[in-house]
Amino acid sequence: MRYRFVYMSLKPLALLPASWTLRALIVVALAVSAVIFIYFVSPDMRAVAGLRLCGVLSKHSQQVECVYKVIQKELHRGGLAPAVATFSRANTMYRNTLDVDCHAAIHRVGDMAYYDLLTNDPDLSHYDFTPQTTMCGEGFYHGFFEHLIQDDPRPERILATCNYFKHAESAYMNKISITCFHAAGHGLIRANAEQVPRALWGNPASFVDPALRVCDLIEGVTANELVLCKTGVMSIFIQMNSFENYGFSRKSSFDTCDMLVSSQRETCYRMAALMVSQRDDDYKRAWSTCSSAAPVLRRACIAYIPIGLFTNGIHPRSYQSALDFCSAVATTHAEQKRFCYEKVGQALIAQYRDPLYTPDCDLFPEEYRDICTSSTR
Amino acid sequence: MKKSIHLWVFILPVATVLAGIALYLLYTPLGANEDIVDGLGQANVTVVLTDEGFVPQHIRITKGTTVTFTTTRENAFWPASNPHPSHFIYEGFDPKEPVEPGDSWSYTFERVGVWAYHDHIRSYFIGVIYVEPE
Repeated sequence: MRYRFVYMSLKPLALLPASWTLRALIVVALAVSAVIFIYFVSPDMRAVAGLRLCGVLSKHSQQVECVYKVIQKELHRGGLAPAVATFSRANTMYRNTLDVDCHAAIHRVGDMAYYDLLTNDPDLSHYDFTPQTTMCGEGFYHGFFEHLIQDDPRPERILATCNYFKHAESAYMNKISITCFHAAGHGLIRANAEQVPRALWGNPASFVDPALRVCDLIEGVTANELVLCKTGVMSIFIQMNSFENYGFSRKSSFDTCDMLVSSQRETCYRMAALMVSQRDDDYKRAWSTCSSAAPVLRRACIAYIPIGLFTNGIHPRSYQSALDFCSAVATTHAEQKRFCYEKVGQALIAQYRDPLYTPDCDLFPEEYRDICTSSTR
Repeated sequence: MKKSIHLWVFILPVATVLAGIALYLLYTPLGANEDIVDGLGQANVTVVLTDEGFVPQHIRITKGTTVTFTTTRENAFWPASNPHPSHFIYEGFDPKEPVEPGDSWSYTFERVGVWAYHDHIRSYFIGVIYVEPE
């Protein structure tokens, strides 16, 4: 009886030609056809098959490199869209393997895309910048634009590149232009760092000032785009200190900002607040410093902590954390309460949204609920 | 009929195995092992950063081997352990500063394992060093 199911399942095969050789050839041909279908016709199945094969490797680093190799193969075969789609799958399948957060992990895909593709074909119109490429706080574009501008740090190049996205028809492409100006700042300070003589290592002005000057030279940008470029410079400056690069000693993000001249500190505090809250996935440590800072610096923190909380995606925990942050602001600085909720609303619009989660506007205080409803419409 | 079914029970698994082997060969995960240069048994090996990347990009060495990094590019470079920018997986594998063109930086690998690395200045340049036991 137990074999009856097998017998009934295989019974139709008896309809095949009587010759067993022919039957065997037909079955093998079907199997090979299935493989060819997976490999050539269905990129998604091919990528999943490749990613699953990475799991058989015993060494952790081998698995990680295998995953990026699979992504690179899809990049070369199909371009940005399948590469990022493969990354999205890998980020789920190997979430605890990739060593870094989602933003940093896809940053490497952006590095890869710039070097493997853009250095050979710099025409941006040849690439499919899909909405999915903005996942993980636009980490892909941080890598992509950072190296593009590092290798060509002229204000004209920044303007041409970022305007390509700014003047595109779709809203998500316009949003990419925001990241473009910010990541250009990354590239500028990295490019400048290569020119700083060893005798000036450890001197903040030597690293920051030339990069900020290039931001100022970009013609026709809005005030916000200028700020984006400068915050990009500050982001890498904070990182240099954090990792003790170029003669800088390890400092907290806010202490790094305090090394700068006063006119530069507000821009730096914006990034420090974002980076600390992003890294902690919490506002408390950033706010403990900011709440006692000068009013202009405190206001910079209020504006950027929500962005940091949402960088790795908007989900119930990050959303609640942002609302808790505004409650904390209201406790000590009531006059900034509405400003805080407005910034949370702006961050909801600005950050990549997980379509499976819609923020519950009922969690906003009633007097500020309109901010949420207009943000999530 | 039952004899026919028994034959199919043999053919189908064989076909499935062949298909699996074909899929694996078509999609070998690490870009093929033939890319890994054999430096086993050598006390010293050299890796050069060119405009096309690290050469060799993948190299297998014995524990205790010293790898010397140089560059033919006009820019300074900074070979360091993944991940970028923290380099925490293999902390000693990091010169802590750029290596200028014309200079070199050497590191002796005392830890067995698979060590992916990158150029900290231009992180799209990547490589892997496979360290085998003595």
